[in-house]
Amino acid sequence: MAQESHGITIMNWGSWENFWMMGGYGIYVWGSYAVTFALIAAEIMLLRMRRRDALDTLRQHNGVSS
Amino acid sequence: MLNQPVLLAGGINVFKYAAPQTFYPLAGKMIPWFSWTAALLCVAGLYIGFFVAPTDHQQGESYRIIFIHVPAAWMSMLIYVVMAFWAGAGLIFNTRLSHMMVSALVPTGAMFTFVALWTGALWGKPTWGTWWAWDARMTSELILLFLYFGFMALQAGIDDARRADRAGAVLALVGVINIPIIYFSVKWWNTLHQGASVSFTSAPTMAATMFAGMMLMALAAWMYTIAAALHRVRSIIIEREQGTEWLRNHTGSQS
Repeated sequence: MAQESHGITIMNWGSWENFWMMGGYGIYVWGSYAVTFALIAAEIMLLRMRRRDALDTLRQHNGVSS
Repeated sequence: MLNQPVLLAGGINVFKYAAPQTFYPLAGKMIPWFSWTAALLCVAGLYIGFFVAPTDHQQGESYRIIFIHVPAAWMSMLIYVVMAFWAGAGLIFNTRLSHMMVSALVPTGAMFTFVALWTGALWGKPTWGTWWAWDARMTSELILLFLYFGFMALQAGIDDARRADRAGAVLALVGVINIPIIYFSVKWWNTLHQGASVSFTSAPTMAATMFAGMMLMALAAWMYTIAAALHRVRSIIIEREQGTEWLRNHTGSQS
């Protein structure tokens, strides 16, 4: 498995270092991907918090101790 | 009976799922499917985008931002159009679930709009030498972000849910005029932003593997949006339907 992914990396990039460098555009490419996935992770966290809060309020409203 | 089912020709009961208590468990069952499809499409899209698609002969590796930028920009516009559709449906049919769908879509739409602008800035710097320009495409996309924020501020500022729904729906419908302006801006004005590489009327002007990676990421963004909106609308349903009989025994452990 590791051998295989290494082969794929060699095919396009030569090394992982080259991959992270992105031909000198690393800061722009990874800056884009990092912020995007951080925002998606934050949204998923907020979605879960909102559901938990909604259910807590519902339980209180229904008179059930949680 | 307030929720008397409306039967159309052929016996298709289109309004059955407009009732929150019917839609709530259905949405709960759909969320895992859309989430997993989104995750798989994203992994496939990233694999093709980084390990199969070739280096661009003009832009080098910086073009790989396209796999987020274009899907995010598409979603930012599509979500607003879907919002406006549900806003119109809510105003016409007075269905409370339609208005809840509008509110459920807004944060995800704002997120993708911000991502489109952010990745655009990080792509613009190495490509055009500037993070930002007040050209038609970028300015109208920034206005879209303000429309999403404006919707959230408007709804947060009105206590009565039904009034907040109607005010939000009017804003969504008025603001939708901005969508064709964003879409056609690169044709109507001489902008710094390039024209479309992909359109409905002609073959894409990019390598097939680049196009495949971009479309997979676009589909992933679409599936993610559906999952997120369904998840959020379920919370909104609980928040707004408290005191109704069907939520009396709901604890969140069942779907």
